[in-house]
Amino acid sequence: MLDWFRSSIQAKVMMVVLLATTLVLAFVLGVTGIFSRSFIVLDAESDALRVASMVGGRIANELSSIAMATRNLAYSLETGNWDRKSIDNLLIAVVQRNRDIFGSTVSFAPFEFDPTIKAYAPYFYKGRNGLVSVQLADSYDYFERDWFRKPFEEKSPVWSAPYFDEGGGETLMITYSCPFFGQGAGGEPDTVRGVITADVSLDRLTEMVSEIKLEKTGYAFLLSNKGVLMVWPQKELIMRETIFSLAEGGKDPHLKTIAFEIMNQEKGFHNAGESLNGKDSFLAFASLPTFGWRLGVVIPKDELFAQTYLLERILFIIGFAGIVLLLTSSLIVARSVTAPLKRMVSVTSKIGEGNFDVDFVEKNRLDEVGQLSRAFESMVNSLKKYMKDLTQATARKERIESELRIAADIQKSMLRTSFPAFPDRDDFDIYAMMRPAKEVGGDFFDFFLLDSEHLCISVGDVSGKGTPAALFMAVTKYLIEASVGVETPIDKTLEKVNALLFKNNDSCMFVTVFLGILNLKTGELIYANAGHNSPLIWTENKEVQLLEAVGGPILGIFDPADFRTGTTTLNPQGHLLVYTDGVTEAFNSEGREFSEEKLMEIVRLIGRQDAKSITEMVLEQIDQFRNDVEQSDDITIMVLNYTPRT
Amino acid sequence: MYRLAGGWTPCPPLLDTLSAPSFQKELEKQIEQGAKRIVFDCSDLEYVSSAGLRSTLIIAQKAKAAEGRLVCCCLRGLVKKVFEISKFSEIVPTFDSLDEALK
Repeated sequence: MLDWFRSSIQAKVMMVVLLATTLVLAFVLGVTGIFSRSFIVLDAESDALRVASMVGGRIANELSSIAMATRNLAYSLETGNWDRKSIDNLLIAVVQRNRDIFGSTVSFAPFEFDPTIKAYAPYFYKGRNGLVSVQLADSYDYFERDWFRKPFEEKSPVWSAPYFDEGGGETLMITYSCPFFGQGAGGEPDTVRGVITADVSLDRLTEMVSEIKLEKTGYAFLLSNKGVLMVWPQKELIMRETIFSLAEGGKDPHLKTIAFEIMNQEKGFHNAGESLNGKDSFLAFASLPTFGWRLGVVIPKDELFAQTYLLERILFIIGFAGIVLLLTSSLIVARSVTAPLKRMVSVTSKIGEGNFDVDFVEKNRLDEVGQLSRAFESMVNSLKKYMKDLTQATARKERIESELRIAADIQKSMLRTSFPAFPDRDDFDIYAMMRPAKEVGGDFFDFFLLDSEHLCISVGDVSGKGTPAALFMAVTKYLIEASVGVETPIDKTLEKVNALLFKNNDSCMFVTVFLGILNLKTGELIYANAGHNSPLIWTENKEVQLLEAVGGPILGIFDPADFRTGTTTLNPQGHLLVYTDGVTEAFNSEGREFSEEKLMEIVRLIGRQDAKSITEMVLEQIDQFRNDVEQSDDITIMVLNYTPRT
Repeated sequence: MYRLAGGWTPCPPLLDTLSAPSFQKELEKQIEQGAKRIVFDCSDLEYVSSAGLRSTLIIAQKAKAAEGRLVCCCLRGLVKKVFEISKFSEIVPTFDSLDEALK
């Protein structure tokens, strides 16, 4: 997977776009979600609280007006004469005229109605078929009842707790008991003469609560000030449980907390979880003035957030579509880059195989890909041309090199290489080598017997090195060989050779030559040195000397030129070393040259050896001296040992 | 250095196979442009190979053909020896000092 990612620009583009857009989408969704939800919650809170307060307030108001009306009745009972009839009429009127008043009684305190009658409490209520009249004194001892006792003892009106009516109907009731005062039977002023009550049916009012609907399944409930369930979705629990007992009974500790919250605060808005109705909901509640009842509103969160869900879903779809669109378009753009690149890669491999016939279709584009294509195409064309030139040049070079190799072979065969050269002669030992600086060199050596008593030796160095020098060298060598003779003086030989070389020498090539003829019987050496290095001549235990330079100028330049001959004698066991300046002018890495002095020193140290050994030892010294510095000039060494039989 | 009836051009301290051709070309150009008397001041010249000698010869020849001449001066050390051995002075006259060469 990682490999695919690393190896593809498209993959990278896709990943980046996907990541970025997903992040952005998630962020946007998250933020809108959070914000819209909190706005909704705030709205819901204020709405719900408003509803709860409003409805609660209405209930309280209605009950308060009943309370006020009852109090007024109590005041009227404090003045005037009231007899059985008038009281009955009053009660009838009260009950009949108030749709919310279910029943009413004027219950006298002991002996207050009539000193002879202990208890007098006429009670009228709405029966199924009309008003029903009851004498409470008959049925029970009403003095002990809360509805009498409380206002009697406290001397102030009181609302009862809500209760179900005893008539067998499931009507929720609440009773307002109001004491009325007067001069007591015993004569005391301001005694409670009795209590007037209004039994109020809470049906209509609780209906108001039940009718509260928020969202789809949001509902309201009503709790008494002690937490008793007055209006509750599960009707069977009404009046039978308090919110606390519910909390105790259920396994939900959260409900306990909620119960406390509701009963201990005047109003509030809380997250109720699933404790109240099994669905994750909010709870808003407000307390009823005077009564301290709690009206609560339950709003399921999912319904509340229904709209955000919708919004979020829409956003998600849009976002997703957006991502897909972005991904596709970025892929297309990426492809417009990677496809040409891929093509270029395949073109490159074709070129690697030698196929230069390629076409770059994108070269007409104006963007970077087009630029690259054009640059690539021009490079391919240059490469094509270069390859062609290179192939030709290589072919040419190979031809030249093979020709040079042939030339080198020819040159080698021109110079004598089979040693010992004169195996049947023991009166002298001669050895020579030429090592060119390039494939072919401009030095030469030659030796041959003119007759059984005379040995001719020659060493030459043409100006420069390489093929031009090699040509000149061949000419010179053969001219000398052709011109030399036992009877011919050496100076004349050189004059002839010089004259011939001078002809047709526009390129000013010249050659230095050492030419000598050794009389093998006497040891006399007749020689001429034409601008060449003076050979070394020495005998055992004697000083190494330079042969005096007698001769003439370099050959091929001067016309006419004068030459003279020199003579010396080689002692028995004497040595002659002829060389070219490639020996003395060999450079080492410090730029110092081998020098004549060093050559002489080495020769002295070598001492008595055969010609071949001396040559090889000197060469070894030169190579050591050079170290790894390239050989700068052709090296030629010839050693002649004179060992006559005495 | 060599001096023309007119200007100086520096001579490299080393006249061998590598440096000789460009040196030769430069001088050939000067001759083409009409230089007649060329003085080759060798006070800085440390070493000359056969290729360098050849270039000098060619210049001397070309100068002669253009009815001018090449002379050398202030040769020293190895270079002086080489010139003596090869009898170069017969083709290219040598002098000890610049003044003498200019005369």
